[in-house]
Amino acid sequence: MDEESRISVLMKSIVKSFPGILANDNIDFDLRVGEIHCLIGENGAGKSTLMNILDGLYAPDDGEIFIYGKGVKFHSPRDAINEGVGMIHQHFMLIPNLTVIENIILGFEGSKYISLRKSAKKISEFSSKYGLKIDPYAKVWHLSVGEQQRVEIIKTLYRNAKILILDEPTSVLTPEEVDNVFKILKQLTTEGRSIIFITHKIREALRIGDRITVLRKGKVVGTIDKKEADENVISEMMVGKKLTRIEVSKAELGSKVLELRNVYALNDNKILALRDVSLDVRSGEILGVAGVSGNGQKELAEVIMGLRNRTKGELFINGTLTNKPSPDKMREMGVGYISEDRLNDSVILNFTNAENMILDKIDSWPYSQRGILKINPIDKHARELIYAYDIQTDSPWKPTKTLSGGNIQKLSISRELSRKLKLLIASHPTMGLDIAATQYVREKIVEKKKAGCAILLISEDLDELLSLSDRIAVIYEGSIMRIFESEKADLKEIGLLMAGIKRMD
Amino acid sequence: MITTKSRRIDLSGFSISIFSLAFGLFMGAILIIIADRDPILGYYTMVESSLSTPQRIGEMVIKITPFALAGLGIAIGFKGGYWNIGAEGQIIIGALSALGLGYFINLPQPLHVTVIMIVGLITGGGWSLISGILKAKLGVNEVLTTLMLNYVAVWLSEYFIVGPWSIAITGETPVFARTVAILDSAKFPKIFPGTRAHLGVIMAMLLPFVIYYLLHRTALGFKIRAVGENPRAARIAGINVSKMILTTSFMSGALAGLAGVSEVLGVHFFLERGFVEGYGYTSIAVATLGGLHPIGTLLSAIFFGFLINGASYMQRGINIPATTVQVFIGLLILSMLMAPIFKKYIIRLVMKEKRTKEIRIEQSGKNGLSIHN
Amino acid sequence: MDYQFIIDTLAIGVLVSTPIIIASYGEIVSELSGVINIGIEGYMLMGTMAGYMGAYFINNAWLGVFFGMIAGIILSLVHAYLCISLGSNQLVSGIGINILAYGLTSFIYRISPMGGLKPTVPSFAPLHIPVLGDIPVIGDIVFRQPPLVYVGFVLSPIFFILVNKTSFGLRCKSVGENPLAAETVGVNVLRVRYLTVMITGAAAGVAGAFLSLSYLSMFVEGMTAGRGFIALATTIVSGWDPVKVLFICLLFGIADAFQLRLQIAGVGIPYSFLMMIPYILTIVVLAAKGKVYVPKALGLPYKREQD
Repeated sequence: MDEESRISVLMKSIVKSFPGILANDNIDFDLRVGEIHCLIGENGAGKSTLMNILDGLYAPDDGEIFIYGKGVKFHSPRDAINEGVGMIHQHFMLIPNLTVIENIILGFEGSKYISLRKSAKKISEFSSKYGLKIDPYAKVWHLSVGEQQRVEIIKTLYRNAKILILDEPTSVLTPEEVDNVFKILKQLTTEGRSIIFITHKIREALRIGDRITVLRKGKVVGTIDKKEADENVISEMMVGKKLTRIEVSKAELGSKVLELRNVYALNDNKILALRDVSLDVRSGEILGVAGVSGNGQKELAEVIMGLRNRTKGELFINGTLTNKPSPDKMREMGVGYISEDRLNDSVILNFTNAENMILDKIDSWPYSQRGILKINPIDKHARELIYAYDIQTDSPWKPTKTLSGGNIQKLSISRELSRKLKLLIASHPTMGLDIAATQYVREKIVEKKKAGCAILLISEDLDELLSLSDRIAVIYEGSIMRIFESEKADLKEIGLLMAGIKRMD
Repeated sequence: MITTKSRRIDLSGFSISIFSLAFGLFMGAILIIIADRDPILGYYTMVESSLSTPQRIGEMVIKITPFALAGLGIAIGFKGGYWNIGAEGQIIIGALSALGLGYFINLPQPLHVTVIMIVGLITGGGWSLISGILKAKLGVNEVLTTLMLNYVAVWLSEYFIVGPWSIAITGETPVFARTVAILDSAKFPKIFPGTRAHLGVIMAMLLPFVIYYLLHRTALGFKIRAVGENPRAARIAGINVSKMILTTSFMSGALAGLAGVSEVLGVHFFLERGFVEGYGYTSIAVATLGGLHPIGTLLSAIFFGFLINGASYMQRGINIPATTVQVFIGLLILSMLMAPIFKKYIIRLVMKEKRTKEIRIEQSGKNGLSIHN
Repeated sequence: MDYQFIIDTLAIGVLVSTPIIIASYGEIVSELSGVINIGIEGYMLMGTMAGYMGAYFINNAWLGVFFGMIAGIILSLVHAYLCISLGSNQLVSGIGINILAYGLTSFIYRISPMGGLKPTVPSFAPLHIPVLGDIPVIGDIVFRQPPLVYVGFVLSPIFFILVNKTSFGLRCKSVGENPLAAETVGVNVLRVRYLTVMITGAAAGVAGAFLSLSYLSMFVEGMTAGRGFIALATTIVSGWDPVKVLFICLLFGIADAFQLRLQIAGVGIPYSFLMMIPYILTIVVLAAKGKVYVPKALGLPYKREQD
C-alpha cells in the first residue's frame, strides 16, 4: 500500500440514536494518514455525534471502528486517547478555575505528585514549535477564546494524538486567527497526523479540506475530493436545494430608540467587560455588532436588558434615562431580548409550551385577571404562535423539554417577537438552527424592522451581519472599535478590528 | 403545570411513590426480623389497632396533621426553589407564639384562636423569612441558615420552658420540664365528639387544595414555580425573583409555624422539652415522597402519620424498641430515592422483552397471529 | 476576666474545634469534587456511637476511633451510591441519612448491653508534648491536648498537599468544576467522587469518635448537636481551603468555649442564649461571606453519556 492510501481511521455502519432522534444512520467514514478531512453538514446533521463516538464519549448502538487497521471498542475517552485520538470540542472542555498547565496535564499527570515545572517545559516546547503562544501559569478564565483554543490543541499534542478532531474551531476566531490555525493544521499533517475538521461553513471546507464528507439528517450524502468540490455542489448536498437570498430594504429611520453613552460594566469575574461604549440605534434600523465571542457582547446585551449594572455611563430608551434598570422595567419600555443561550435563559424546560409563551406576560390582561390565571386566552395565544412559527408539537400543554432543540429556539424567539417591540436585542438569533428555521427567523427580524422596531443584532456570522444590518459596530475587548455603514464595510478591515488592530487613518 | 379541561394526574410519579412505600415497608420488615420479631404480626397489629375505634382513628388523624401542614409548607418552599430545612425551628416558633398568646392573653374563644393562628403564621413565616432575606439580598444559601435557626429555635424554646413560661410560675413544682397550659379559650374546638380530632385537622385537609389552587391557577403561584425551576429565565422574563424568594420563604415558614400552633392548640396545650423532635425533618421526607405536590404531600402525610401512630401499637404488640420507627423512616426515604432507578431498570427489561418478541414475530413470518404487548 | 480564664478558654477552644476541623477537611475534598454531604451530621453521629462501642468492646481508644472511621465510611457509601451512581438529589439523600443515623444510633445503643449503663470507656488523656508544651502561653493552649487534636493539626498540611499538589487533588477539582471536560481527558468522574465521599465519611467518623472518646467519655443520643452542619458552613466560608478552614474552625471553637466558660462563671445571661451562640455565629459568618464562588458542578449529579 502506498503512503497516500494508508487509512488511520475507519468507521463502519455506525448507528447512534437518542430519544426521538436517529443521529447517525448507518454511517461509513474513513480518514487517511496525513489528510485533512472535512465533515460538513448543517446543525443537527449528526457530525458532532459521530465524532463523539470516535472520541470515546458516546458508545455507538451499532457499527465498528478501526484505528490503523486495528479493531477497537472505546468505553471511555481514555481508551480513545490511548489509541492516539484527540478531540477539540466546539465548547471547550477546559476547567476555567485552573491554570493552563493544570488543564493540559489533567488525566495525564504521569505521577501521583505533580511537578509543574517539568510539564511547563514540555508545553513551552510545543508552544514554540507550532506557534501556539500561551502563558502556562495563567488561569483559563483569563484567556481569550483564541488562546483557550490553543490550550485545547496543546492538550491533544501533549497526549501524542496522531488523529485530531476539531469541532467547529473557527466560529470563535478572527479571520487572522483562522489563517493561523490553518497553518498549524497543515504543519501537523506533514508530521503524519490525520485531521478531521467539522464545520458548517462551506467556504472553509473548500479551503482546508483534502476531502469533504457531507452529512444530512444523520446519513452520509457523499464524500468528494477537493478537486471536484465547489460551493453549489456542497450546498445542494447539505440542504437538498439551493439557498435563497433575503430582501432587505433600506432603513426608514426614525428617532433614537436606544442610546448608550460612555457605558462601563464588569463581567461575572469582576473584570471590565465594557469600556466607554457609546452607540445608538434608531427605529427601523438594524445595528449589527460584530466581534469574536467573549469580547463583551453578552455583557452589552445584559446591560441594555437590565440584567447587569453599569458601573459608569448612561442608558437611554426612547430618550428616557434609565436609572436602575431591571428586566421587567425594560420590558415595560418595549424592549425584547433573544438571548444566545436560549435553552437556559429563555425557557423553563419543565413548564409547558403555553406557560413558556406567556412567561413574560403573566401579570397582564387577558392572561390573568386580579391574579387569577385565565386558561382560554393563554391557550389561544399559544396555538396562534405554534401555527405562525411552525413549532412542531402536538399540544401547547406538553412540557417544552419534549421539543427538539430547534423548536425550543423557535418557541423562545416567537415569544419575544410576538410583542409590540420598540427595541429588540437579538443575540446570535440563528445559532443552532437549521437552514429553514434560520431563514424564517431572519425574515421575522426584517419584518420587525419594517414595522419600525430598532434592532441590535449581535452575531458571529459576518455574512449574516452584512446582509441584514444597516450599520455594523465592531467590538473588541469591550470597546467599540468602529461603526460602519454596511454598504461601505470592508470585510478585511472588520477582520482586523475584530482582532483589535486599528488601521492608521 | 397548568392544565386545561382534562385534569392530568402524573401517574408515573404516583407509581414511583407506591413502589417506594412498598420497598420501605419491605425494608422495615427486614429490620423487625433482625430484631427477632414477626413482621407480619407487627404490621397487622399496626393496622388493626389504628383503626379499631373512632377514638383510635382520631388519634391517627391528629398525628397526621402536623406532617400535612409542615409538609405542605416544605413542598411550597421547594417548589419555589427555597430549600427549607428549617421546618423544625419554624414549628417551634409557631408553637411558642401559640403558647405565649394562649396563656398570657384572654379573649373569647373564636377570637382567641383566630388571633393565635394569625400570629403563628406570621412568626413562623418571619423565622423563615430571616433565611429568605439572607438568600435574596446577600445570596446566602438557605440550607445552612435554616438549619442553624433550628438549633436557635430549640434553645429559645428551652429558655421559655424552664424560664418565664415554666409551670413553676403558677406555684406548681414541675415533675419534668414543661410550660404552663394555655387557657381553655385558646384551645381548638373538637370536631368529632369522642375523639381528640380538632380544628387543625380540618385545616390540614383543606389547605392542600388551597395551595394547589394558588400554585397552579394564580399568577403568584406561576411566578413562584418559575423561580423555583429556572430563576434566570424567570428574571429575564421580567419576574421579580427577589420578591418571589421572600414570598416563598415566608409562606413556607408560615405553614410550618401553623403546624406548631395546631399541636399546641389542638393536642398538647403546653410545651415540654423535646416536643417537636424530628417532625420538621420528617416532613421533608413527607413532601418529597408526595412529589412536592400539595395533594400528594397530603396523601404522603396520611401514610407517615399512620405509620408513626401505628408504630406505638406495633411496638407494644410485638415488643421492639421505639426507635425502630426512626430507623424505618430513614430507610423509607432512602428507598424512595432509589425507586426511580428501579423503575428505569424495569422499563428497560420490559423494552428488551418487547424487542425480542418483535424480532421473533418478524422471523416467524405472518401466520395469522397478531401479538400485542 | 483574668489571665487564666483566657488561657483556659483558648485551650478549650482548640479542643472543641477539633471535631469540626477534621470533618471539614473531608467535606472540603468532597465538595471540591462536586458532592455535598448534608448527611455529614449522620456520619459523625455514627462515628460517635461506633467509636464509643468499639472502644468499650476492645478496650482501646485508638481502635475505637478506627471503628468510628469505618462507620462513617459505611454510611457515606450509602450517600455515594444514591447520589453518584443513581443520581439522586443530594439534599434529600443527606437528610434521609441524618434521620437514619439518628434512628440507627439510638436503636443500636439501646439494644446493646451498654444502653442505660453508660459505662466509662478508655479515652484519651491529654498528651503533653515535651518541648513545645512548655512554651509559656502557646504551650498551655496548644500543646497539652488529647492526641486527636494533634491529629487535627497534622492533617491540615496533609490535606493541603492532597488538594493542591497531587494528581488526585487536581482531578478532584476538575470533576467539581466541569465533570464533562474531566471525562474527556480520561478522568473517571464517578470513581473520584466515590473516593472523596468516603474521605468525608472517614473524617466525620473520626471526628465523631473524638466527641465520645475525648471530648466527653460517653455516648449521648444526638451528641453531635449540629457540629456536622457547622462543618458544612466552615467549608463554604473558608472557600474550600484546608488551611483557612483550620482558622475558621478555631474561631468557632473559641466562641463555643467562651460561651461554655460563661455558663460556668455564672454570668447573668441564661444558658439557653449562650448555647445559641455557635449557631448564630455560623449564620453571621455566612451572611458576611455572602455570595460565594461555588464549584460549578456542586450538587449536580453527573450522568455519563455512555449510560
